[in-house]
Amino acid sequence: MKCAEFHKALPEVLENGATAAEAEHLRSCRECSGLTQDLTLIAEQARRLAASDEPPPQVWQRIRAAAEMEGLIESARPAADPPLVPAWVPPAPTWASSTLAAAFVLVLVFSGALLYRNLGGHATPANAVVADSPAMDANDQKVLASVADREPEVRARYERNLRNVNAYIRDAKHNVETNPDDEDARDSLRQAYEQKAMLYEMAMSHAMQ
Amino acid sequence: MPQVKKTEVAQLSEAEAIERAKRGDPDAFEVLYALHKRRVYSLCLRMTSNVAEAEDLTQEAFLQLYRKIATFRGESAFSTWLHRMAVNVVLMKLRKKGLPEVSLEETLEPQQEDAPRKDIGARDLVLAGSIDRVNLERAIESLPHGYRVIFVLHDVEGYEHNEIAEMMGCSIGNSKSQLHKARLKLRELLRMSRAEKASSR
Repeated sequence: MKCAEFHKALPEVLENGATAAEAEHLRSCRECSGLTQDLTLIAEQARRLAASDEPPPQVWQRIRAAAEMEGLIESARPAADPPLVPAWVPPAPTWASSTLAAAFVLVLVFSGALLYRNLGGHATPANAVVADSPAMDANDQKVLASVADREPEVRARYERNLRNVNAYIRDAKHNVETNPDDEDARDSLRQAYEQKAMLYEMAMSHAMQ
Repeated sequence: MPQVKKTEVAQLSEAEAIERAKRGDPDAFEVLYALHKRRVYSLCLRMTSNVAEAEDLTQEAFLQLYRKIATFRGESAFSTWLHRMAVNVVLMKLRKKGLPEVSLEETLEPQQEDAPRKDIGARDLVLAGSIDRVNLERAIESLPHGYRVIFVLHDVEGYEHNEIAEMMGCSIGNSKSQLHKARLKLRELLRMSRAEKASSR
């Protein structure tokens, strides 16, 4: 058997083993033997890569928040749970926000009582709308329009969350205006905008599916 | 039905978690995620070679699982069912991106340009000792997209050619041909990497 003939047969050799003629060629041809060993080794090493990587923690947070948003699971986070703060600072809220963990904002909003208390506001159950929340602006209306074709319950949740996060921003702004040197107040305002940016991002990703 | 306490959740078997998840128990969902997240994420990462996309696809795969879990009847193993779902999520994403999967013109007949190269590292014929996880991962990332998909599905994830053919909408012959070319290409990349390291010393 010549090398060219062996090369043609090699896929079957690797899958089902060598015939007598092929085995004889392997014994006599160093190059084909080396090739076969290499391809076998590559396939063996490849199996070790399965399940070898761990997803970052925010993946689960996003999954959970999205599942809650779709009503697949019950909202289980009581208001007393500490909120999960994103590990990054996104750019200013625009439609072109990054693709990072958008669902953090939903966990924050659903368990937003703690942050809201920090601002001197009143704790609000996750499924209620803050009283006297500001009117929605044009961008908020775009977000709601982008999820208009979703189930009514999903749209209602977006509207609720937008109203709550707008109230959060309003109160945080007021805090910064009243205490311009207060680092915590500025931090809270930043977080409020982060929440809103992530809510926009989630609506966008739904709309693009 | 009252939700399971956290300490009890950790002791749930997969079967128990599945039944509780069907009833919307969020902690049971988390158990299922913890059991299968590595395999799903690794699959998405290898197929796309992009961390952000892998995270998005992992998210979508598990959301689909949660949407459809009520339909799981146990005819196949849960892990098999979930994994197949994840593969389909990834393949749909790749199709939407317009990336070529498997050439319809491929046959089992190796073309001249696909013959194993003999010039690279010709003196050292065997790679043994040269392949570690990092080298192999880098080489896989460098594969042409179509080769990478087949290689990951077969050699990394363990699917058979008939399963790959069904998922990819190609023939078994195409799947075998692409896999062989992928392995040859990986060998070439690994030998080049080894030669570069040797020459830089």
